[in-house]
Amino acid sequence: MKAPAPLLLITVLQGLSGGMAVALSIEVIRGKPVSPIAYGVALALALIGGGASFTHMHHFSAGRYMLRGWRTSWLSREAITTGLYIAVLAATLWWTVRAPGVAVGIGWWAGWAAALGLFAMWVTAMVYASIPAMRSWHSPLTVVTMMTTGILGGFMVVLPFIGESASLTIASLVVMALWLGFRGLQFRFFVDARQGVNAATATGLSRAPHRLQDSGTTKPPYRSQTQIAPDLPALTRHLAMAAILWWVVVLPLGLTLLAHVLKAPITIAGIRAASVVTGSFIDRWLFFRDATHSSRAWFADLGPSKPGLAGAKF
Amino acid sequence: MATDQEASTSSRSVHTTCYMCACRCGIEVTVENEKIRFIKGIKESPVNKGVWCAKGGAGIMTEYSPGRLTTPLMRRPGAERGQGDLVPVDWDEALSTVEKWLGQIRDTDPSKLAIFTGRDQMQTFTGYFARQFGTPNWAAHGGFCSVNMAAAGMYSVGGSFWEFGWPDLEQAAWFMMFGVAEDHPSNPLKLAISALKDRGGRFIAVNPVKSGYGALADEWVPIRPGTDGAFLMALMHVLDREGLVDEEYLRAYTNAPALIIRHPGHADDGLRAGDDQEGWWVALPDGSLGPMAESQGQGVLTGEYQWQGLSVEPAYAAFRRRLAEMTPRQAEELTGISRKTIVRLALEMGTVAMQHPVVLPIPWTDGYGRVHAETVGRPVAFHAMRGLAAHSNGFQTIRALFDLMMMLGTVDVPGGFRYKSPYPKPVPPRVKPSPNREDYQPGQAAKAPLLGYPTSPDDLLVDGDEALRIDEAYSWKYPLAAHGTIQNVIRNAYDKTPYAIDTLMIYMANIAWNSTWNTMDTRKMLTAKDDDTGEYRIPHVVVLDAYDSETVAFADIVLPDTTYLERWDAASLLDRPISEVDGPADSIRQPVVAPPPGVRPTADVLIDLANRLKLPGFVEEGVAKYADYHDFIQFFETSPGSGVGLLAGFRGQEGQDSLVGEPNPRQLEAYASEKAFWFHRLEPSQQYYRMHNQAYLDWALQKKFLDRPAPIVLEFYSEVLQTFRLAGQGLWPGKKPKAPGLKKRLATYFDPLPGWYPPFEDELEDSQRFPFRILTQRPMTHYHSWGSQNAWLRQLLSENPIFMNPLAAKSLGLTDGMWVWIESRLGKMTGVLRYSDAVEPSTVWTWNAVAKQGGSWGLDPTAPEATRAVLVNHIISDTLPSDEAELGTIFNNDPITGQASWYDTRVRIYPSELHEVWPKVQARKRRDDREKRPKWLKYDARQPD
Amino acid sequence: MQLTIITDLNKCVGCKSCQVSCKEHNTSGAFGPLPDANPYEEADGMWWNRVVTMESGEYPNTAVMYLPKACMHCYDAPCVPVCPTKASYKREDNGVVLVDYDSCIGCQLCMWACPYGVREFDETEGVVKKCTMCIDRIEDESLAAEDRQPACVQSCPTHARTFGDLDDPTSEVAQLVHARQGFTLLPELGARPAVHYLPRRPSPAIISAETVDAHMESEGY
Ligand SMILES: Nc1nc2c(c(=O)[nH]1)N[C@H]1C(S)=C(S)[C@@H](COP(=O)(O)OP(=O)(O)OC[C@H]3O[C@@H](n4cnc5c(=O)[nH]c(N)nc54)[C@H](O)[C@@H]3O)O[C@H]1N2
Ligand SMILES: Nc1nc2c(c(=O)[nH]1)N[C@H]1C(S)=C(S)[C@@H](COP(=O)(O)OP(=O)(O)OC[C@H]3O[C@@H](n4cnc5c(=O)[nH]c(N)nc54)[C@H](O)[C@@H]3O)O[C@H]1N2
Ligand code: SF4
Ligand code: SF4
Ligand code: SF4
Ligand code: SF4
Ligand code: SF4
Ligand SMILES: [Mo]
Repeated sequence: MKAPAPLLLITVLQGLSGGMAVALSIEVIRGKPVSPIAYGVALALALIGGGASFTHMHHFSAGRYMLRGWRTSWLSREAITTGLYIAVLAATLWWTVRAPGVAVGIGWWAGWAAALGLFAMWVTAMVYASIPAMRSWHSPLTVVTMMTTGILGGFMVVLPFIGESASLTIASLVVMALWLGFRGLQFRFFVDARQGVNAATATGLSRAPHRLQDSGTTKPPYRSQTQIAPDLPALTRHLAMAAILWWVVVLPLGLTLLAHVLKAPITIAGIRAASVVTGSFIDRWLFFRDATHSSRAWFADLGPSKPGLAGAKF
Repeated sequence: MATDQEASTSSRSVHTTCYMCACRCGIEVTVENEKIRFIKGIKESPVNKGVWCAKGGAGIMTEYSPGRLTTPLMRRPGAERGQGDLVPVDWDEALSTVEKWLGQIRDTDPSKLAIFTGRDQMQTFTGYFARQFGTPNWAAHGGFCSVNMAAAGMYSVGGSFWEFGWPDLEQAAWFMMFGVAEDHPSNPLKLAISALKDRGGRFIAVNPVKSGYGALADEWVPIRPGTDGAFLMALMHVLDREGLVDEEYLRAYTNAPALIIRHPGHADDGLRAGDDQEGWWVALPDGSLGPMAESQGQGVLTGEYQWQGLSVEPAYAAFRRRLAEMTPRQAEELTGISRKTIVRLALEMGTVAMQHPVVLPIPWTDGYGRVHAETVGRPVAFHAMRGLAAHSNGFQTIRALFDLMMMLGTVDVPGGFRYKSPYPKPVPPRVKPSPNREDYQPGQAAKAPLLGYPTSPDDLLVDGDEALRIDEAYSWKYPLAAHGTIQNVIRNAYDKTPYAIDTLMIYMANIAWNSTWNTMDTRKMLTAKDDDTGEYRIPHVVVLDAYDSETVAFADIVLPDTTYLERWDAASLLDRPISEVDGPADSIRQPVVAPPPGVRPTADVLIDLANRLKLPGFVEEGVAKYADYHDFIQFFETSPGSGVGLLAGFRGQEGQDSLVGEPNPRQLEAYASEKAFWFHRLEPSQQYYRMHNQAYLDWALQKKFLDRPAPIVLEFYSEVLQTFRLAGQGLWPGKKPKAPGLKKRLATYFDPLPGWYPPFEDELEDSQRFPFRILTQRPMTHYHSWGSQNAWLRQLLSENPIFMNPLAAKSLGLTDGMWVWIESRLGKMTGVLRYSDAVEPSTVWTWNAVAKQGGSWGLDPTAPEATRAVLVNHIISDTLPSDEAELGTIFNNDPITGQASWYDTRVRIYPSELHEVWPKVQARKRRDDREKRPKWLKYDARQPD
Repeated sequence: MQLTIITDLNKCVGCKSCQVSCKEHNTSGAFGPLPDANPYEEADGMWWNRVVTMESGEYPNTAVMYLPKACMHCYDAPCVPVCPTKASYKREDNGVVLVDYDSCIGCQLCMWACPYGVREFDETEGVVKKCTMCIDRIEDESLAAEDRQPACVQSCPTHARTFGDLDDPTSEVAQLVHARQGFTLLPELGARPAVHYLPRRPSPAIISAETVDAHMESEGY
C-alpha cells in the first residue's frame, strides 16, 4: 500500500516516546535523577505524532465522533490510549519540572507513563495487526516488532540525556537482538504474504497460471484505493532492508563499540539515537509500502507506463 | 437525500433509441434540471428488453464531451488542410459555400460529388439524397465493414445475420459461433447467449481468440485466421459421409437438387436446366425432369441426367465431389484444429440436428401446398461475423456456412437461423443500381437506387473495363460490392482514377484514422496537391460530424451535427431493420435535450442543401416538400402513393395502419407516446420457414415486403456467381472484361459452390517472413473511435497492448511487457507485448480503434490514447501488389464483394529499442474554443450548473 | 434479512454494463457524486463496481473469466468494527453496509480492512464511498417496481446478476446459491460475504471420444 506520512509519524514517534517513557521509568525506579528535558522530548514526540495523526483526518469536523467506535475500533482506542498517555506524560513532566531529581510521586507518574506508553504502543500495533485483509500485517509479529522498534528507539534516544548507563545500554542491546529476531521473521512473513495472494480463492478458478488480462481495462485504482500500490521492485525492497539493518543495528553497534573505546558517550549516543530513529522511519515506511493486501489478487501492476514493475502474473 | 430530490426543479423521462452503437436499443432518458440523470433500457423494447450496455449508460458523458463540435468551421484562409486550423463561421456562410460547390458539380457532372457515410443510421435518406443529386458515388460503411456477411447471405438465403437474421438461441440446443467479438446487435446477442446458457445448451466458439462471448463457450476451437472455409468444408465432408444431412429440407427448400448444365467451354455451362427462366428444374425419383415448383419437394440430389441433349446434374452432386476433396486431414493442416475435433464437432451438430428435432405444435402450409401438422426445427444454430467476413476469402467462407446451415435444414426453423423482417427477400433481393453512364447525368436524379444486388455481369457499373463509380463498386474488380467500397475512395480520388472528383462529403466516418488503412499515406493523399496547379487533388472536403475527430482536421468545411439525444430520427425497416425474429419492428429518436445553439441535425442540413439545389424529389414545382427531417420521416414514400415510408407503425391519417398506409402527420408523436417503437408480432403459423410459408408469403406480399407470393428457393448453388465466372471465361454473352487480370479474378473466385482459397496475403512472395496474423477485436465498452472521448468509458480502456501466446513469444525471446516492433509488408509500428494463453499461437491481436491523434476528440495531448495506445491500421496495407499495370490499383479487398480484408494482415514481431508509440503522429493544434479541461469531473445531475 | 447480488459467472461476458450503470446511477444518486480525476487526460476515477478479467490455465486449456466486484455486504463485515466513528455501519434490517459521510473522517482504515478492494476514497470530500446496494433505489417507493433494484442488476445484458434476500430460503438468490454451488471470494478471510458467485457450468461434448475414434477408424478420416 501507500505509506501515508501522518501514519509514519504517529506510529514511529508514539513508539519512540513510549520507549523513552519506559527507559525513563526504569531510571526512576533505579532511583536515578531524570532530566525533565528527556520527558519534554518524549512529550514533544508524542505530541507531534498525535498532531500528525490529526492531519490524517480528511474530514476534520467529523473528528468529534472519533471515540464512538471504542468498543470495536482499535483506531478509536488508539486515540483514547495515546491521548491518555500524553496526558499522563505531561503530568509526569510537570512533576519532574516541579520537583527535579527523584521526588515522591514522580515514581508513580513515571510508572503510569511507561505502562500507558507501552499500552498505547500495543493498541497502535493492534490497529494494524488486527486486519486480516492486510496479509502482511495480520500477525503477532506486527505487534512485537512495532513494540520492540519503539522500545529500542526510545532507549537509544534516552541514553544521551542520562549520560553513561551500562545497564540501559545492555538492555537496549537485548531489545535490539529481540527486534532483529522479530524483524527477520516479519520479513519472511511479508514474503509469504506477497506470494500467498490466493488467486484461486479470489476467483474461483483453480488452474494455474493465473493472469489478469488486458492492461487497458485493469488500470489499478491506486489513487482511490489506498490499500494497494504498485508492487515494490525487489531491488528497492532489499535496499530498504539493508538500510534498516545498517541504521538500526550495524551502525548503532559500531557506535556503541566506538563509544566504549573513545569514552565520548554523549555525542556518540546522540548520533546513535539519530541512527536508530532514521532506521525506524525507513522500517515503518517499508512496513506500509511493502504490505500486501488481499485485494492485490485483482490488481496487477501493468503497463509500460510503470517500467520495472512485476509482470501481470501473480 | 429527500431534500435533494425535492430541490430538483424539473424532471422528465423521454423514450428514444440509443446511438452509442448500431444495435439501436430502446432507451428511456431521465432529465433533471435539463441535465441527463439516467439512461436505461426500455423493458418493452423488442431489441434490448430492458437491458442496456456500458456504452448506452455512458451516453451521458458523450452528450457532455468536450470533443463536441459547436459551430460550423472553415479552414482558415491560407492554412493547409490537415492541420485542423479551422475557424468558426456562421451557418449561412458554410451552407452557401457548399451549395456553390455542389451546384457547379450538379450542373456539369454529378459524379464529381462523392458522398460517403460511415456509421450512418439513415442510409435510406442519405442514399436518396445522393440519388436525387445524380451521383453514383454514395455508400455507407459496408465496404470496410462486413459486406461479405451481408452479401453472402443475400446471395444464399435472401437474408443474413445481424439485422437480417438471427440464431434462435431460445430454442437451440447446440450453438456454434464463428469470429464474433461484439457484433452489431450486441445486447440481443447477450440476451440470446444468456437464454442458451439458462437452458444448458452447448456453445462452441470458433475463434483464434477466446474472449467476451467466447469466454463462455463450452468449447473453444482456436482456429488459424482465414481458414474457416476449410474447416466448414471439412465439417460438411463428415456430415455428408455420415449421412447427417437433412435431405428433405435440401430437396424442398433449396436449389441443391436443381439441375445444372455441364457444358464446359460454352455459354450455358453451370447455368440452370429448364426453360422457365424463373424457376429451377429438378429430377424426380422416377427419373423425369420438371420444374422444382411442381416437384412437391421430391427433387433428387444425385445422379446425371440428359436435358435437351445436354448433360445435367443436381447441384448437390457437384458439391459432393467438392466435399470429397476437403478432408478433415487437409483441414487439420490448414486450420490447426485436430481431425478428431473436426469429426466430433460434425458428429455433434449432425446428431443434434437429425436426432433431436424441436417440434412445435404449429401447423403451417408450404409453397407446394403441403400442409405440415407441426413445425419441426433442427436446434442447431450458428452465428458469425467479421472473423469470417474481414478476409479476402470471406464471401466464399460465409457461403460455406450458409450451405452448411442448409444441409442441416436449419434456416428459418425453431432453434436454427431465423429471419428478421422484412427478410427473407428473393435471393438476391431484387434491387439494382443503374448500370449505365447515361443514368448519371447533370441536373437529373439517378435512375435507380445506388446500391443493390447485381444478378449478372450485365448489371455492373462499368464502361468496358472502366468503373463508373469512384470506389469501383460493381466493377470487374468488386462485382458484388453490395454496400459500396468506401475504403477505396480516397486513393482513387487522389489517383483521379477512374476520374477526378470535386467534392468529398464525409458523414460519420473517421476515414483519416481508424477506418482507413495505410493510415499515414491516406492522410497524405487527403492533403496532396497537383504539381502543376498547386490545387488539392481532392479539391473540396466537407465533413459532417458531431465530434472533433481526426478527420475533422482534414475538412475544408465542417458542418456540426447534433448528438443522438438532440434530433429526430428513424430506425427504419427500409434500412437496417431492428426487427426481431418474431416480427417486424422499428423505432424513432426524438430530441431529449436541446442542442447547443451552433449545431444542426445533419439530415436537416442535407434537406436544406437539397432545397437550395432544388433537387428533384425534394423540390417539386418549386415547392420544397420537406422542411426538415421530421417532415421527411413522416411524409417520404418509396414511390408516390406506395404507402410505404420510413416508419411502418401508426400510418394512415389516424395512425390506424401498419406497414402500408398513407403518411400520418402525427406519426412521430404516436411513436413518442408508445415508448418510441413499433413492433408487430407475426402469427405463430407465419413465424417459421418463411421463405416457403404460404401464409407468411401472402402476408408479406400484402405488406409489400415482397413483390410476389412465390416461395423463395434458397441458393445452395449460386448461378449468379456462375454468370460472372462465364464472363471471366469470355463465355458470357453480355458484358465481360478485357484485361486478363480481371478475367482471371472472375474465373477463379466466382465459384458457384463455396470452398476455400488462401487469403491473398498468404499468396504473396514473402509471406513466410511474416509468420503471425494480426487481428483486432471490438471492445465491448467502446464504439470505434467515438468511445474514447467519453470520460467514463475511457477509464475502462485507454491503451491496447498486443496479445500473444506465451508459447510463441518465448520461442522468439519475447517477454511479457516488452516493447516490440510489429512489422507487416507495408511497414512497422511499436506496441507493448502481453502474454495471453487465450490466443492461438500464430495470431496476435489488440483492441480496435483505441489510439487517437493527440489533440483530437477533446482529449489532452498527453492522454494515454495519444501516447500509449497503438493503431494497427498503420501497417494494414490498402492495396495488393499486382503485376498487371493496366489493372490499376487492386485494393486489399475480397475479389467478389470488395470487403476490406482487415484480418488478412501478416506480421513479424521482434524486440523494439524504441520504448514509445511509433509511428508518431504529431499532435494536432487543439481547437481553442473550449474552456480548460477540468481537473475533477463530479457529475451530478441533481446539481443545477 | 440480508440483501445480496448473485453473479452467474456462467453468463457474465465481461461487458462492464454493471460497472457503468452503477456509476451512472450513483454519481447523481443520494450517495454521489463519484468523482473522476483528470477526466480528459490520464483519467482516474471512482467506481463502486469494477469488472476484472482473469485468465487461467495453459493454452489451449485456457479459461477466461470476468468478475464484477463491488461491496460484498459481508455478514461479518470487517470494515465496520474498525471504523472509529461508526460511520461505516451495517443495517440491521437488511444487511446493507453503508457509510455515513457526515461522520466519516476519511482515515481509510475501513479500506484496508475490507478484503475485497471495493471501498474508494474520495479525495475531494475526504470520505470513503462504496456500493450502497443502490439503497436509494430499492427503498424509493416512488419508483416503479422494476426500478427498485440495483442499477447494475437491472442493466446486465446477460441477466447474470440477481438481487434478493439471501436469508430467505425461498428467495431466488438463496435458491441459486444452493442449487448452483454458489461461492464467495476469499472465504478464508472470514468476512462471510453475502455476495455470491455461481461457477461455470460447462455443457460437455455430446459425442464421446470412443465414438469419435470409431468413426475415425471406420471412415478413415
Ligand atoms: N462495442 C462495440 N460494438 C460494436 C462495434 C464497436 O466498435 N464496439 N463495432 C460494430 C461494427 S462496425 C462491427 S462491423 C461489428 C463487428 O462485430 P464483430 O465481428 O463481432 O467484431 P470484431 O471485433 O471484428 O471481431 C471479429 C472476431 O473474429 C475473430 N477472428 C478474426 N479472424 C478470424 C478468423 O479467420 N476466423 C475466426 N473464426 N475468427 C476470426 C477475432 O478474434 C474477433 O473475435 O461490431 C459492431 N459492434
Ligand atoms: N484495424 C482495423 N480497422 C478497422 C476495423 C477493424 O476491424 N480493424 N473495422 C472497420 C469497421 S468494421 C468499421 S465499421 C470502421 C468504423 O469506422 P468509422 O465508420 O470511421 O467509425 P468511427 O470511428 O466510430 O467514426 C465515426 C465518426 O462518426 C462521428 N459521429 C459520431 N456520432 C455522430 C453523430 O451523431 N453525428 C455525426 N454527424 N457524426 C457522428 C464520430 O465523431 C466519428 O468521427 O472501422 C474499420 N476499421
Ligand atoms: S448495445 Fe448499442 S444501442 Fe444498445 S444500449 Fe448499448 S450502445 Fe446503445
Ligand atoms: S453487466 Fe452482467 S455480463 Fe456485463 S460484466 Fe456485469 S455481470 Fe457481467
Ligand atoms: S474512512 Fe470513514 S468510514 Fe472508513 S473507517 Fe475511517 S471514518 Fe470509518
Ligand atoms: S466487501 Fe468490504 S466494504 Fe463491503 S461489507 Fe465486506 S468488508 Fe465491508
Ligand atoms: S448495487 Fe448499486 S451501488 Fe452497488 S454495485 Fe450495483 S449499482 Fe453499484
Ligand atoms: Mo463495421
